[in-house]
Amino acid sequence: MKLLNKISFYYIINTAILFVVGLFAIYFSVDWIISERTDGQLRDTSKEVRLQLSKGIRTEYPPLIEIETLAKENNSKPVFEDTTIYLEAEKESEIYRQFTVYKKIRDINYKITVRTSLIEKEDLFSAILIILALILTLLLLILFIINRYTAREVFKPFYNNLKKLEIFSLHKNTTPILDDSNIDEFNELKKSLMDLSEKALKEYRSLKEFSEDLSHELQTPVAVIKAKTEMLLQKEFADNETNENLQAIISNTDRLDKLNRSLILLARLEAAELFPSRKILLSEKLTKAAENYSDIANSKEIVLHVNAKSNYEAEFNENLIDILLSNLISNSIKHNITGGEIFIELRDSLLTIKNYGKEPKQNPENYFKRFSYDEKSQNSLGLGLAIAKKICDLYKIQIEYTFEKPFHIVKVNFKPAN
Amino acid sequence: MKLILIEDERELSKTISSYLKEEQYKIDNAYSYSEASSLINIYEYDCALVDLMLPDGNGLDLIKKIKEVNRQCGIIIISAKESLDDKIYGLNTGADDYITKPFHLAELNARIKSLIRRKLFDGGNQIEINELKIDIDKRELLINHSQVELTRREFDLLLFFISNKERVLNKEAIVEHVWGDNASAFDNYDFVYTHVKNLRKKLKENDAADYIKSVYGIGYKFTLK
Repeated sequence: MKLLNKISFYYIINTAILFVVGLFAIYFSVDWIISERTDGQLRDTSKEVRLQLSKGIRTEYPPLIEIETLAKENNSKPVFEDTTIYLEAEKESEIYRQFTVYKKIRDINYKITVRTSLIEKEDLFSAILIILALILTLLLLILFIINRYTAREVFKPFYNNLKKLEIFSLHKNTTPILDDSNIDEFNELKKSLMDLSEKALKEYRSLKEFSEDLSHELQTPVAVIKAKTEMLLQKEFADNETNENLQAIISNTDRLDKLNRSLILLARLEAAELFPSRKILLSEKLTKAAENYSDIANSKEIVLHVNAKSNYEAEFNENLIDILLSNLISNSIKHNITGGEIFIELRDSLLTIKNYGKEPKQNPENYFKRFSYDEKSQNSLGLGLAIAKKICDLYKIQIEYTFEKPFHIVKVNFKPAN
Repeated sequence: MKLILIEDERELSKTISSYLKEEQYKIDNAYSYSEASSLINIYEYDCALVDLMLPDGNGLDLIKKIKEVNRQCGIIIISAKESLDDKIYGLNTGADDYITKPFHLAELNARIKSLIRRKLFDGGNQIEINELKIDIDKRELLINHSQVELTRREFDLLLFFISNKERVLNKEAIVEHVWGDNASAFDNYDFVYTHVKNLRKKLKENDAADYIKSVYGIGYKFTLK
């Protein structure tokens, strides 16, 4: 739930409860006030009637004023009560409040009952309640809107900063510049967030520097091992075991070397380093790359079909396009089946490489992640497609990997996305 | 032939020079910028191998210096950083070739030979070994004066073998030289075997001696012995 909605939600719940409680309180107090007034009036009327009686005037006005002459003296106390009276004229019952007094005036025993209709009171009562309810609801609504508006104003820097943090990425190498607020807590939050991102960025940079340095530092010892083994080779050892061991050292050092170079390239691509670019005729590069691999494909009895009739020229770095095309084609050979086929097609700016292969054990898009493979093979460093993806990202061009039984399909659109 | 090897990593420097000494080169080792600059002022070299990152200076400045005192000297950059800028800048400064560490010694050897050939014989760039005669510019092979058709790969293979004659060549070095960096990502090097077999067959059919010997588990050796 959004912060603003949460606040509004609690606001509504609380005011609604208050509203109901308030309404009840008003109901009872209004009820009490009206009853007091009615009883007071009845008492006054009864007093007036008694005064008239003592002057010898007997005024009756049933059912509002009724005077009864009693034979015996009655000492009952004056009493207020509610009663229902049937009215002949209206042919229905109505509720009345009545006040009965027993009194001996001029030696005559009277029972004096004065009444007032409660209908009026009820009408008044409901009118008051309706008006009150209307005012309260209106108040509630206005307060709600004001509350929401101020909350939005107050939280504005918070939401702005949230948006800035959402697009913050370590790759971009800059700390987000967050908005100031006149609220202390938000300013504190801003300060800690900026410190935090600064720290994260620093750590990230030093980690990257470390891995780059490491890769470069590794090259010298690898170069020494490589050179030394090559020297050893010249001895031409007579026993096969030594030769096999030497060969294992050579191929693994080679692998280490390749891995290292790939990681350096990846790091450079990730740093979005500027690579000098020029217009390159894609079909020419593609044909050359395919030709380069024809021997390897042949040795696996794989047939390469190349159809590159497009005249599309891409603005690209020469080395990177070679690496991209090589990686894609070598991937289509590595993950092919013996006696398989590869269809390479370039149509306008769209390159499609389709090859036979085993069904993937994961979402093919995962192959773009580093070191992601279905089976670990000596054949693959697990970086080729990751590098291809990074190159495409650098040039903002689309690359996708799909599987449509029995084909693995890689599509690259060399036209930049925007 | 006099070479200077400017490389601060002593172990690597030692290994490179001992490999190259077999080629009858005279090699001076310089382990620092200052050592190198005094050596180039004293001696005249045919070829310089320059590491760009030296403890007391930049190899690129050394290249400029070498070019000032001796225009004819061939220069190969040896660099640990596979940086495109360095490569372009280095080649613009006057270097003839660029090789990234780590490399195969056979590859370096072939590069030096190719450079020296280009420097020494402008135009008539040929190699003669017994009955074989190779015209590098025309990419032709003559055996006993008659031309033998070779494919591009076969020619590259033969030239690499000859540049490294009497040396054991491992398959990795061969693949990297003939098929390029990317092909070496494969562990299955059967295609090397196929191409070498075809080359040997062509040499044999044209009455050349069988110079290419296979070395068990490792690769091949081109030998006159």
